[in-house]
Amino acid sequence: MSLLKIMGLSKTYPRATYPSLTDFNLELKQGELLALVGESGSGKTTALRLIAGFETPTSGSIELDGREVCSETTFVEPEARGVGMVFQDYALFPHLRVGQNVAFGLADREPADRVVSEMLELVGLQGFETRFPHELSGGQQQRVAIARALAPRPTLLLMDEPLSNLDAASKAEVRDELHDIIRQAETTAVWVSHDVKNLMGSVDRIAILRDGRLQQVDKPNLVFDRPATRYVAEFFGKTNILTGQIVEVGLKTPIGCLDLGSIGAVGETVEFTIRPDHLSLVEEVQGTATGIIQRIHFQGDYCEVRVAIAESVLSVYVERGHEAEVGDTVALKPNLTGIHIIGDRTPNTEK
Amino acid sequence: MVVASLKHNLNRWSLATSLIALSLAVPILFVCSQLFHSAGDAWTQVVAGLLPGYALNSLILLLAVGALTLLVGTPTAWLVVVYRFPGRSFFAWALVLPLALPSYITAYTYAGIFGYGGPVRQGLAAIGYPALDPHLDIANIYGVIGVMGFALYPYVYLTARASFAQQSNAVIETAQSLGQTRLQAFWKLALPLGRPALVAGASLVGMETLNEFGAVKYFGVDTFTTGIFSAWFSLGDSDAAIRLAACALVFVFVLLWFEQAHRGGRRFSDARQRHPLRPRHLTGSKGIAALAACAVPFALGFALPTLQLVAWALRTAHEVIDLRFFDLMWNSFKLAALAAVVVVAVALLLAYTSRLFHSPAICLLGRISTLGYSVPGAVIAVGVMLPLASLDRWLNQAALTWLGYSTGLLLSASLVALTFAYLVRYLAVGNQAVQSGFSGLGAHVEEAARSLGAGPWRTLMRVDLPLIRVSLAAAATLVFVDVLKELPLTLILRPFNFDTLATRAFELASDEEVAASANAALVIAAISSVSVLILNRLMARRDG
Repeated sequence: MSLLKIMGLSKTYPRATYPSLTDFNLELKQGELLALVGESGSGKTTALRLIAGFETPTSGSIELDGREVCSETTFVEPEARGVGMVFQDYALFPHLRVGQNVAFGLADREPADRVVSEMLELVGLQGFETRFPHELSGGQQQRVAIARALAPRPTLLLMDEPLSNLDAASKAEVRDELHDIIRQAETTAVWVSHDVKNLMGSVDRIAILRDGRLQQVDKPNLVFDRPATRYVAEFFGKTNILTGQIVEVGLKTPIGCLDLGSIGAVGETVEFTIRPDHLSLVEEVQGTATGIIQRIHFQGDYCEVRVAIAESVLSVYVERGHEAEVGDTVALKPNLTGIHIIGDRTPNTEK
Repeated sequence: MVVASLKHNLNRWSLATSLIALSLAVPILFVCSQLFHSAGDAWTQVVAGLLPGYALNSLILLLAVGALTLLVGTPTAWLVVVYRFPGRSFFAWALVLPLALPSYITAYTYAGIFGYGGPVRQGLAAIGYPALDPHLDIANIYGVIGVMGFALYPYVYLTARASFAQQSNAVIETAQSLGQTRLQAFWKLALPLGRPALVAGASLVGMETLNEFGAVKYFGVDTFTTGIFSAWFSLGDSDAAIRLAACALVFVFVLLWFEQAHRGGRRFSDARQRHPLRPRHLTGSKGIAALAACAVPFALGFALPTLQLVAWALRTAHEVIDLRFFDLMWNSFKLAALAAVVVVAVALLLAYTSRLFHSPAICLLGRISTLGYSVPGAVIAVGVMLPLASLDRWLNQAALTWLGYSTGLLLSASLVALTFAYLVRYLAVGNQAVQSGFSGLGAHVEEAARSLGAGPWRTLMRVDLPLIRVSLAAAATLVFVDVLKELPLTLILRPFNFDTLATRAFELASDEEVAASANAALVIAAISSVSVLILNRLMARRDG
């Protein structure tokens, strides 16, 4: 049974022209860590607030741990949902000490002191019980917020852009700590972020929202390699998007006829992606398409070469120390495993 | 979703809020409803004879007092914000002090200052000027305009000062770099940019003007408020009183509409962080002129009346300050404290509920229930008295029928009616201060508490209250002082033989014992000064 089950969730704010969230469906397993990503205004915070119970949906339902918390006929108030929340601005209670902040969600019957020290140990802030929030650094406040949210053992932990108020230097460090803490606490969690690159290595699955609609929910490598939509393909780093026509032996494309075998109805036009690292520059050979190098960007570890071919400009990553120069005529050789037809759900055949 | 949404929105909080907000609207709605009833005989007399006079006087006062306060409040605010001159830091807050004197008390002191045997006539007589010159008589509409103008200009001064301080210095500095002087920048930029604030300040002045009873009564100028009083007390005609109240409400609504029309949707401020204008130093004759421009309103609005009060009090204290006077003080403090607690509690409930449910209906209720601040106290008084009297009759009848004994006038003749009326009139004061406390919180601390399992009540007690306690104290102080100063509402609704400092001062002054009234007036003024300084601090913080 899934821990969180969201069905057909939609939300239109009063006086808003467009819905903030449309037909949102999601299931989370116990212990899973999901990243919910999208640009600002894509509806990810709305989704989070609906799950937490801070907003009422326009339609749809939410089940938490087998219990319906929100539907046509039910609305469970946030305090009764057992959902922990970590806010972008931490929202620590400024008038309470660190220990009191962490103990806030603990019912009186629990041995609060023990839980508080356990939690502070978990986040690496032993001995900070009597400090006030304003005496802590941003990263420390962040960890208190996590400890406070985890202390009552929530069924589900929600984090709204927990890294966005930190400076670049501490971001990576806190991210890894956060990841370890969540794993150690064995909590199911949803992590909202717009900065997806930082998260890909830390989460089990990624859900991508755009204009209130869910684009894809998949493992990090799959959303990267096998994007369901053009938007997802472009969301995760640089890529080339081309159109091709299905032929009997594969795909006829501006970069040549690709031997992919039988991949669908012959004659159909499809969009496909190929990331710049799956393309390489080769000597001009008879029969392959050629292009002209327009620009070379030195990127440190590698170079991005922009090649004009047919009507498109493609990005190719090459090792530094290559000999290509602007104006050269070159041919492109794709790595066939790196080709993904957008929206194709069949598993990739290993070549 | 309708059901779930109802479940979320319909609970103790929203029900309590709706009930309170609606009951607060009853007096105003009741008065409004009287506009459409057919009139009785007494009313026909009032219409024929007195209504046009009331309306004309009220209108003249509105316009003239409004103009005078703008004329005094705006330039002083500009001087204090943009220039540095001798005495500036003193006048920056001292210019607010006239608000500490209720305008009826200012009126009594000026009647004394210009009256027979007063310092003005004595001084002039000493240099051979005829002491009986009728030109020195200020008991007329011009006198009221002058007194109220200098008593009320701080409303304009405060809002104008906040607006000028908030204006982007970039705008003014750009104007200067384009060759405009500061004076030109004032006319072309600061004034148009500050118009919404000036209108807001002048509207407050207008509301106070319509509310005024003591000053106009003492100077013999008939307005809606005095008309309501004479219909209520002299004619004993509640029907005519309430119809007059309804006519006064029309004035209020026009005033509110005017204010909305001149600032709604046209807020010229921009949200970017700005530096305050770099002040320029005025020295020599210019500095003296600026000093004088601030000293005159301060002297006329506060210093002179206070000196007169002190002089009177020194003369009469030995015969006035007795046990009865302490009774009077105790009555006043008790009543003001009760009202302050009730108002702050209700304001807290309203503000918190509107944070719990971001529902337009709740917001609308909040706005309706704070409407009372713009309505004259006399109007609220009749709007409270008549429905409560009916309720009392009904309760009494029910008690007689079911329980077999009479409850008498349980509500309308007790402090219940008075406290409820204060709530109607001053909820807006408490509400504003409480709201400003809440707005400093941000939404997330409450949501954090909720997600940690705390219900709305525990969240309020353990998170919100400790965080906004300063604002609550400010709200309570402001209401306390407003109630202490209040006159017309208290005169109509006080229980029989129940006197406060304000009503006693009014009675003594009306009985030609104005010197004796100064003792009560001074107590009110001293305590009011505290609230005025709090208000000044609140406004100054918003400037920063």
